Order: sequence, then structure tokens, then C-alpha cells
Amino acid sequence: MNILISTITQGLIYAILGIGVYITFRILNFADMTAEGSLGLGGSVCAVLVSNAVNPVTSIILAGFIGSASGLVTGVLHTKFKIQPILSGILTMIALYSINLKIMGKPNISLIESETIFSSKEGDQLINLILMAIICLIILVLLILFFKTRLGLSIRATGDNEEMMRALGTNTNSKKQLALSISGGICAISGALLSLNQGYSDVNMGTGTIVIALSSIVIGEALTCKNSFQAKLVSVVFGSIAYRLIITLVLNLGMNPQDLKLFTAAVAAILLGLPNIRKTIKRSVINAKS
Amino acid sequence: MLKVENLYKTFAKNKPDEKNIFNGLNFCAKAGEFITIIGGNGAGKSTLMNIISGQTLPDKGKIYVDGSDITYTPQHRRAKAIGRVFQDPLKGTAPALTVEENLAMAMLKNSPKSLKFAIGQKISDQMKQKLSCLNLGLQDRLKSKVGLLSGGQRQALTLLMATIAEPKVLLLDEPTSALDPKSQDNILELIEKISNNSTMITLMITHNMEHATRLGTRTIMINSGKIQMDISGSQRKNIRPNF
Repeated sequence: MNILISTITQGLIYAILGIGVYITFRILNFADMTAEGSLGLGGSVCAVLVSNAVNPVTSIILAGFIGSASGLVTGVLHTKFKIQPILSGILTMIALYSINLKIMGKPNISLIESETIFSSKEGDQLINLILMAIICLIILVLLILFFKTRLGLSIRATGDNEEMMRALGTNTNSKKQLALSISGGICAISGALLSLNQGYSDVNMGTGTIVIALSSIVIGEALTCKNSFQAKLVSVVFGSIAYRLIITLVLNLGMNPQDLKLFTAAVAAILLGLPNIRKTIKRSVINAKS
Repeated sequence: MLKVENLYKTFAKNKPDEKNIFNGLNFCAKAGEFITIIGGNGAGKSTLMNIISGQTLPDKGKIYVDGSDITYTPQHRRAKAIGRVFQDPLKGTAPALTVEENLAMAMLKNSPKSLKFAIGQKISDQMKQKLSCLNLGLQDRLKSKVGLLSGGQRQALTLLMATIAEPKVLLLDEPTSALDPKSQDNILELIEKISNNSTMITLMITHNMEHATRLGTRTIMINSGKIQMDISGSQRKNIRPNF
């Protein structure tokens, strides 16, 4: 039971990362790798602050703001330097590795002795879960409201048809920068919560997390049948929880943890390809019949 | 008034495939005029529109709208005065957004993109009223994704979006050439309805001679970057240009 609860709690933490990536990947149509660096950045900033006895809530919020700066860097690289989306993100991500090391001053910081928002007592797992659910809910509600505003809608429209938005008098570059900043901030908050929850921050903790986020998005989309924007954003949370449950299950079934990243990548590849694989199979079935 | 003054444009300058388009083009349109533009492929019709809209910068020359020089104004800023409809019906609308979300973006063209809610009761009523003018039943489909509409419906919506904020200049680059005959007629009718009794300057590129002479108040023919013919009024019925 406890494993289940802590798995869902972790799922909710990674769900926030998934939401951050959703903003760039699906809303802005921007293959953004910054997320991995932003997650680590959030974790590093939060860990340094908390281990210096700063209030954990303040630390999370500060981590979010610093994380949004990382998103802005990617935005500037793309819109001002005209570097392709994927490369802009990779450049920021690589740079953040060194920056995160500098912030922490060492490869990892333990938070075992520090006050975090999570309780480490045996019977308190459920409280942690409820706390994370509330945080997720707040972020979701804020984002759904934001994307209904004029500014938010113009970001969605920019991602959907940039040329149209330029013809409608919108500075699409500033909209992209803003969206990337929001995404960076949210990914950093996820990183901050992750370091508080696991009790340490590690410079490598971002590596491979983009795949987790993408898997959450795709699983979420498969789980929901509604096509509305809000439903899709909420579905990321359930996708992330489902993904965590799968990982916990295979680990409990005896998979070597070293193989985890291979498994993660394979799952993501299959999920991303599934709609096309399904189509190909359907077509060959029809061909075989006729 | 729209004024194009001494326009020069050469693509791939000093390269083997240099393409000279304009060598000192002059052109002027008065408020309320509806000009149809004809001419062969590569004559410079679309380049002229791209330069007016700011998508392409000229090598030399000036563009004025109502007396203010917009030659080097960024595209998104001059777009406030310029509405545009592309040949491709898919280009002018955002497919993943709903009809009302698309229209809201067009209606808010000249308002700051603030944190106010984009869609409210008031704007929604305005949309329904505007959409019912299209006679396509779109007023009952405000919540439908635009990607689910047909090409003709999307082009009609694009036209509405391009003109809803009352621009000074409307650029139509072969707005009907990707549509079936019935949708073509529908769009042309809409264009006439919108441009009639308006001070907006409308420029429409077309390859259809019947459309070129039936619509509008003036027809110009561009050939090798020059205005080869410029006629208005009843004379237009008699033109037989050789491309």
C-alpha cells in the first residue's frame, strides 16, 4: 500500500514536469530539451536554499522563477539567434549542467537533515500524496485559466499557426519566449519538489527526464477521449501516474534497474509510434482481405 | 491611401540565378478602391503583396499607408493596418483552435494581449452576428475545431478574420483558386459585400479574367515588374490581355 501511495506521489511530481513539457511540445509545437536542465536547475536551487534553512515553500517558488529564466534563454537563442528549436534547447540544457554544479558546489546535496514540505515519518505517506495532489491542482487550474486569457490564447494560436498570428499583428517571438519561460519555470518547480521528496538533489537528476515527460503526455492522450484543451492538459497528470505505476511494477517484477532507461525509451518510442503502427496494421488487414 | 514609390527588388542578387522583379515600380490606390491584379506567373504580383505586408523587404523604394512610411515597419506591427488572405485556405486559420478562439484572436488584433479572458458573452454575441453573415451556419459551431471545417468554410472564416478589425488595406492573394466553383462564388460574393461601402483598399490577385473584370473598380496588369495596363470603370469589360 505504501509503495502504491509513494508511487502516485512521485507520479504527481513528474506530472508537473509533464505539464511543463506539454506547453512546449504540444502547445507551442517546439521540441524543447531545456526541460532536463530546468528540472535539475530547480532541484539544485531548492536544495541549496533548503539546506541553508530557507523556508521550503519560498525555495520552490524561487526555483520556479530561476527556472523560467532558463526557458527564456532557449527562447532568445531560438528567436533572436535563429537557432533551431531542438538545438536551442540542447545548448541551454548542456550549459545548465555546469550551472547546476556551480549552484550546488558539489555533485549532490542531501536534505535528510533539513525541513522540507514532505514528512518522512512512516505513516505520513498519504499526507504527502494529498499535498502533491493539491499542488498539482493549483498549477493545473492556474494554467487552464491562463490559457483562456488573451495572452494565453495568443500563445496557443502562435503554436498552432504562427504565420496567421503574424498576419494578425502578433509579435510571435515574444509569445514563444513567454511560453518557454513558463515551461522552464514549471519544470524547475517539478525539480524542486522532486529533490524535496527524495531528500537529495543530484546534478544528474534531469538526465532522461524528457522521455518520462513525453511518455506521460502520450499515455495521457491515450487515456482521454475528450479533445478539448483542458482535458488534454489534465490527462498529462493521469499519464504520469500511469507511467510511474508501470515502472514500479516492472521493477517489482525483477527488472534490473540498470535497464530502466532502455525500458523507458522503448516505451516512449512505442507509444509515440502507436497511432501510425495501428494505421499500418489496419491498412495491411484491409489489403489482405481485398 | 496606399502608395508604392520607386520600388526595386531583386532576388538572389549577383548570383547566377539572379531574378530581377521590380525596377522602380510606382503605384497608388485611393481609399475605397478595389483593385484586381492580373499577370503571368513570376510577374511580381505576389512579391508586391509580400512587400506591402512586410513579409519581404524591398531593396529600394517606399511604401506608404495613409501617408505614414511603413517600408521597414516589422510585419506584426504593420499588420494592424493590413488584412491578408492567402491562396491556401489552411494558412489563415489555426486548426487546433475552435472557431470562436480563432475569431477572438482576429477581433483582438488591435487590443493588447492582456490577462483578460479572451472570450466573453459580449464578444461571443458579436461573433455570432458576424458569422451569420457568412451563411455557412458557423454561428452554431463556435466550439468546433477549425481543422474540422472544409476548405471553403475555412477560407470564408479567414476572410472574416482578416477584415473584422477593419484594416486600411486588404490583400487577397488568389483567395479562391484552391476552392470548388460553388465555394469560389460564395467567397467572391463575401469579398464584394465586405469591400462595398467601405473605405478599405482591396487588392486581389487572380488568374481568372472573369473574376478580374466582374469584381472591383479597377484592374491592373503586371508584367515583368511593370504595370502594363491600368484601367478602371466600364473599359474593363472589354479587356483581352495576352499573357
